[in-house]
Parts: sequence; C-alpha cells; structure tokens
Amino acid sequence: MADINKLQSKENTLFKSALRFYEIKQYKKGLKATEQILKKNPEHGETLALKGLFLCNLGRKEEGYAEVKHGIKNNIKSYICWHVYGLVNRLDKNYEEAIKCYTQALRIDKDNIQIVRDLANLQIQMRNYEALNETEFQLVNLRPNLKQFWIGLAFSYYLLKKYDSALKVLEAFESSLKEKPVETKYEVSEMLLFKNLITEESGDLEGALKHLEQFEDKIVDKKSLLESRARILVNLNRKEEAEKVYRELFDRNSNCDSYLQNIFKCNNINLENPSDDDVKKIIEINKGLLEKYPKSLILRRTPLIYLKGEEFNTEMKDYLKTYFIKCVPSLFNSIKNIFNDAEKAKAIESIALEYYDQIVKNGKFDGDENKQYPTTYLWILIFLAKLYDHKREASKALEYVNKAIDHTPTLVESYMLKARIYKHDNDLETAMKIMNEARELDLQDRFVNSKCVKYMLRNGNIDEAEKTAGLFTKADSPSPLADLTEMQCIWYEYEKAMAYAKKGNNGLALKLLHQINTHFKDIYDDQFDFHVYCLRKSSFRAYIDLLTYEDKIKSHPYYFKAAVALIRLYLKLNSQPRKTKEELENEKFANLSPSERKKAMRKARKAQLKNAQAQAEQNQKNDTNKKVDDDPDGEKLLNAKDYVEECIPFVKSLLEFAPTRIETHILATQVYTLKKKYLLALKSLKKSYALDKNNAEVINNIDQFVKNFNADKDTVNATSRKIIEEEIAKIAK
Amino acid sequence: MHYYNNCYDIPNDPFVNVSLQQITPYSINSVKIINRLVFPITYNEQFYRDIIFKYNINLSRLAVVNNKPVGNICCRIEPSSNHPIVVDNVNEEILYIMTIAVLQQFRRHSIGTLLLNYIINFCKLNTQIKTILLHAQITNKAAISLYIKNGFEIVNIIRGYYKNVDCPDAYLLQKKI
Repeated sequence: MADINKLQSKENTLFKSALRFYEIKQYKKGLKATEQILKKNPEHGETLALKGLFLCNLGRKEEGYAEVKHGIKNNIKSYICWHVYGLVNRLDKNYEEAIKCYTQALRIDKDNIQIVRDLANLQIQMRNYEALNETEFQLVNLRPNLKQFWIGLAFSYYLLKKYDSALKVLEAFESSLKEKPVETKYEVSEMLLFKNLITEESGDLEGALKHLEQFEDKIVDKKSLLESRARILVNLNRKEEAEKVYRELFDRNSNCDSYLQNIFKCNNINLENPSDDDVKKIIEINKGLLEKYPKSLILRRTPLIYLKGEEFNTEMKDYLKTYFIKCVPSLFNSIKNIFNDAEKAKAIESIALEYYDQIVKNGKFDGDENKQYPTTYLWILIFLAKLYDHKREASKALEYVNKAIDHTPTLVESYMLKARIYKHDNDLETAMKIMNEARELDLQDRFVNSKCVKYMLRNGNIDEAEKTAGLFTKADSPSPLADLTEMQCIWYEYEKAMAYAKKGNNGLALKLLHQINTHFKDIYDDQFDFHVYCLRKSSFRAYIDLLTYEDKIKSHPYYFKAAVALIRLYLKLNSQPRKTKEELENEKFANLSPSERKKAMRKARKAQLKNAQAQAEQNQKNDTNKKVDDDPDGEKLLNAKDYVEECIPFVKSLLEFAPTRIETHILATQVYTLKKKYLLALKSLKKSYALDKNNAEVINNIDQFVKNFNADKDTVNATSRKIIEEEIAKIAK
Repeated sequence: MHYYNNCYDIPNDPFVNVSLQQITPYSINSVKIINRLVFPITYNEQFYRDIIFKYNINLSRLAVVNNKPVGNICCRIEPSSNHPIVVDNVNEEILYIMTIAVLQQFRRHSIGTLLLNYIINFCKLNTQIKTILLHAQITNKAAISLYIKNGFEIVNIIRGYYKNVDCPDAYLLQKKI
C-alpha cells in the first residue's frame, strides 16, 4: 500500500499554495485547493487538517473540527497537523488546548519559529510568565540577530520581575550590534523610557534619575519624562526638586488635579487632614499659581475645599457669581464634593438664594451697574433645582425647575432635570414622560435619547425602550438589541435585565446578565492581537498598562453590578419551587377568562410556529456566516440543574476583584452556605460582619448559617467543626 | 481675597452667541413650543411639515442662544396675486413671513432684528424678490414697532383676519428691497 501521506509534485505545489492562501486570508480559495488535492489523495492527513482550518475560518466549525481530527488521525507525526489543531483552538479562544497542541507540534519540529512565536503569544495571554520566558529564550537562540526576540525576552524577564536580567538582556543585545539599527526617534525614546521604568521598579532610583538626565534630549515624550522624574524625586525624598518638576508639569496642564496636589504634598502639607497652617500654605501657593494661570479651573475650586467660615463664603460668592453669568450647566456638579460638608452646603444654599432674590427684584446683582441677561436667571434656577434635588427635597426642586421651564421652555436640560427629580421621588412614570418630552425637543441628541431609554426601562416599558433605542442603532442590524450587544452597550443590557427581572421574565434577565459577563470575557480575549503589535511598535509602557488593565478588567463597576444582580437572581430562583412549562404558560394568560385563554394560547402557538418557520428560512439565507441564537428566551439558562452551582464562578470573581464591597461577602456567604462549604462561608461572613455588623442581610446570614450548620454538623469533619463553632460564637448572639 | 476678579473673559453680552440654524425634523419641536407660547393661534401639523419639506429650507431659521432655541422665523415665497391690493405687477413673486417669534424673556436683545435681517439679506442675494409682506395683529405694538424700525410700512388694514382671538384685525405690512 502506498503511503497515504505522500503527495506527487503537482499536489505538493498545490499544498504549498494552499498554505499561502491561509497566510493571506483567502480562505475560500484555500478550501478549493485542498479539495482538489483530496480528490487524488483522499486520506492525506495534512491536507485534511488544513481543509478543517479553512472550514473553521469560514464559520463551519463542526465540519472543520471533524476534518482536523481526521487529519491528525491519519498523520499523527506531522507538526503541521498539530499546528493546525492549535490554530483552530486558538480561533475558538480555547487557549489552554491550543498551548497543548503547540507543545505537541514543537516536540516533532522543535525549531519551527512560527510555532514558537505563536506559543509565546498564547503563554502571555494565559499569563504563564515562567513558560513564556523559556519560549522567548528559545526564540533568541533560534534567531539571535532579530531585535524583536531580544525585546521579547527582556519583556518576559520584566514580567517575572527579574529586573536585572531584563536590563542585562537589553544591554547585551545593544552591545552585540556592530552598527546602529535604523530606528525612529519615537522607538529610541520608548526604549529609553522602558529601560528607565525597569530601573525604577528594580529600586535603583538614583540610577533611574541619572539615566533620565543622560538621555533627556533623546526622550520625545516630555510629559512622561517629567512625571517619572518627579515621581523618582519624591521617592528619594528630594521634595524641593520634585516641586520644581511638578510646577513645570502644571505649566503644561494647569487643570491637572494630581500635579497640584503633588505640589502641595512637596510642601509637606497634609491634604487629608490639613491644620490651619496647612490651609494658609495651600491658599498662598494657590494664589501664586492663580496669578500665573488665571484660566485654571481647579485653582478656582481648590480654595473652596480648604477654606472655612467667612472666608469660604466670600470665595463661594465670587465663584458662583462668575459662573452664573457664564451660564455653566455643570456648575452644581463642580462643587458637589464640597456639598458633603453640611455647614458649607448651608452657606451655598443661602448664597444662591440671595442671588436669586437679587435677580428677581432688580434684574441685576447688588452692587453691579449693568442688568443681567435672562440666561443668568435661568441658570440660577437650574442650580437651585439641582441643589434641592441633591438634598432630595422634591417639592422645592420642582418649584425651581418649573420656573426655569416657564422661563425658557426650549432648554432640554431643565426637562431632564425635572425628570430626574421625579425619578428620585420614585415617580418613574412621570419621570419617563418628562424625559420623553426632553427627547422630543432635540431628536438629534443621542445622550437624551439614551437617558430616555433608561427611564423607560426603569418604568418597565421594555418594548417602547427598544424602539426608542433603535432610533440611534445601525439601520441594517436585525434588531436594536443585536446592535447594542455588538457594541457592548452594557448599561442598556443591565437596565433591560433588571426590567425583565421585575416583570418575572427571569430567563431573559439571566440571558442579558450572562451577556454582560461575555462582554468582559471578550474584552479580555481582544488583547490577543496586541501581544505581537505592541512589541513590534515598541509601545512597551502602554502595553504594560494594557496587561495590568486586562488583569483587573472584572473590577469594573458594571461587572460588579451585573454579577451581583445575577447571583441574587439565581438565589431567588433557587428559593422558589420550579415551574413546569404548563404553569408558566398558564401564568402568561392568568388574567383571561377560560375561553379567552384558549384563544390566546392558540394565537401564541401559531405565532411560535411562524417564528420557527421564519427563523429556519433566515438560517438558510444566512447560510453559515451568522451565529444563530440557540436560546432566544433564556430557557436553557432557566433549566440549569443547580442554580447555586451557576453562581460559583461569579462569586469567585467577585471575591477576587471586589473584596472590599460588602455585597460580595454577603452573597458569598449565602452561596457557600447553600453549597455546604461552611469554612468558605464563614470566611465571608466574618468579612461582611467586620464591614457592617448592623446590616440586615448580614444578620440574616448569621441566622441562616447557624441554622444550616447545626443541621449538618455531623457531616463536617472535626477540626473544621471546632473552628467554625469557635468563630461563630464570636459573632452570633 | 478678590484676587481673581474678572480673570475670566466673560463676554459682556451673551447674545453675541446668537446663531441661526436650519430647522430640521429634529428641531421642529422647539419651533412648535416657541410658537405655542408666542402666538394666540395654534398652527396645525401640516404647517410645520410644510416648513421642513415644502418650502425652501433657507426661508426659515431657528435662533439659538447658547444652545437654547429662543426664536424662529418662517417664510414662504408666493405669487403676488395672493395680495392683490398691494402689488401692481401681478406676475411678481413676493416673500411672505408666516411667523416670526422670540420668547418673551429674550426680547429686547435684537434677536428679532437679526432674524429679519437674515431673511432680507437672503432675498437680496439669492432671489429677484422686491417685496416682503407680513401680517400683524393691530394691538401688538411691540411687534409693529420692530417692523417699522426695520423699514416696513403699514399698507392696509384687514378686518377680521384672525379668528377666535380678542382682536381679529390685522395690519398688512410691506417692505420694498
């Protein structure tokens, strides 16, 4: 029998061209080429695998996988087959499997650069730095003259926090060069800053400072240069020099809060708890800077934070008057943090009311000659309305906002504010109506439109909300929701999920909340392309930022919100008896008389049939390119075997990324108690107790925990039991 | 403590920021609200549709102060035969101002003049029109003085021009350009 894995020369060239087609992403042509080879050699392993790869890239996943596996079976000793299998897995974001395949391929052909490089990318994606280091080392050995491999190696040392080795690698490479490579100014500068960063993080601050001085003129990113220098000087406790650098930075951007605060800190001012002396110093420095930068906004705001009593009043009067005249819509927001001080809040209120009286009486501020324009009056009204809304005094807030609307009925902001006031007063229906009026005033304003959608969802008008959201989504997407999902519009999905949950449509709520989780996974997966790109483009520092950001992606507030909502929903479902399909259907038509119910059910069934038909037709049309939603109503999620089990991954990520939030520990306690993992539950119970021992949920959790634990006492092993009993005695009364 | 008095270049007159914008389906609601507040009569939906879709879009403008719509002017071109009393040449086309309005709080800041000037200049530059006409309620002294100040003259009194309002009589005013 002839070897099935041998090709004649003609097929061999075809095979090579197929490989090229893959590289230039001509998947359809590649598929044809492989099919041509397979006509003559139907069992050729490598071609089969390659065909599978093309199929997968064209969206025909199942067929593709079958072909690839078939290929491997026919030629298990080919690195190409294993490489292809790795590529297919990578395409599916199944990185761990992919790493295994690559390792297998390298066992067969250990010097294949392409495979080693791909492997390195996967390892960095999986944050397997030790292995990455080995792989990068191999790459340097394979091609010692390629700069990017050396950088990769240095980078892997940096990630392992072996700063000395990283620097040595970079130096060794540079000294091995006979002639300087051609580099752009930017590349040189980034390289220098990267080296500087390594030196700084290794703790050699003096060295880093010297390095900055030495190459100052070669570094083009002046802002980073100055920031690094200032940071190092502060850490070296050379505060006077540091202050100079921060002043230089402030000159570049006179609205940067952190520069200003650092200037204060360099003057040994305690910003958290300033003494009278400190306040004097702050005001003095601030005054000096203000003379130089009269247009800086934060310099105007800073004294308001630190001054007290009469001085504060004078400053505040000045501040408010300036910006009332200037008609600044965000005036109230700019002083919101000052508003937390009760005394100052009172002062602000009386100042604003005083100005209001003056304008109402004379149309001008006391002491001024010129009359104020009507807009000044309008913004005073808006300010007062916002102020009372912040204090949750709805009737007063409404009084002022209505005056504003009477004054200028075309200002969108006043309507939005009015809607907000109603929302805070829990009148969601009116809030929605007024927000819709605001929207109709300016139909081009996407922001108002989005707000309106949110208010509609809060009020439970889901269909209307979807229609309104659709005004701004892509016209050619199948539905507004599809486009918003594509755009990863998380707020919309969250609000909609909450609206569904309120209506008892738990399946769809679950589905949307899971969708949010998927977005975060996608964002994490999307970094893959940057592993090659950033090193090639020498943007190391931005790349490091990206890696740290992606590591913490799940600490995003929206992830927290969605995960909490999801766990709560699952726990709620868990506490209710499961409904059968019939019960669910009956519930839908609960308000109808029997005959009407029959009619409605018949109608629903017909609609369902029609939908299914339409879906089937569309599937045929769309062929294989578009994914089909196999669970449009979230029924599969509702049919999950164990709701509590589903919570576990979310509890784990909450514990990892939001360990300071009380909700995390409250939910973790509940989930682990239900799962009978009493030690874990106890750990979270203790944390939540420490955070707030008067929280109603915490108290309830303690009772539940004790009740469940006492029932299960005998199944828990002796040591754990002892610990739990001791610990629980401390908190349970 | 007043070390930063007047450090800002606050414009003395915020109305330097008046801009005239095209009226679009997106902003037509503002026009409706302004007209509802300013005029004693209500215009129907068709009126607003015509402004956007039927007449030349450059014959109407929305006056916007610091992002707030505060006034509008809407005109159309019609044959002079619609106004037989005033115009001699029957085949001539004239410009008729259907509405000109400024919110009460924003009057006396030359926004009305700005709107009128816009339309006059538009006619001079882009059309052959020689005559601008408009109706004004004879009790509306403020409006009439604005027109007179801008070179309009009263050419006729039409009794019972408006329906269902206190004073149904109107002046017909005209300006030659």
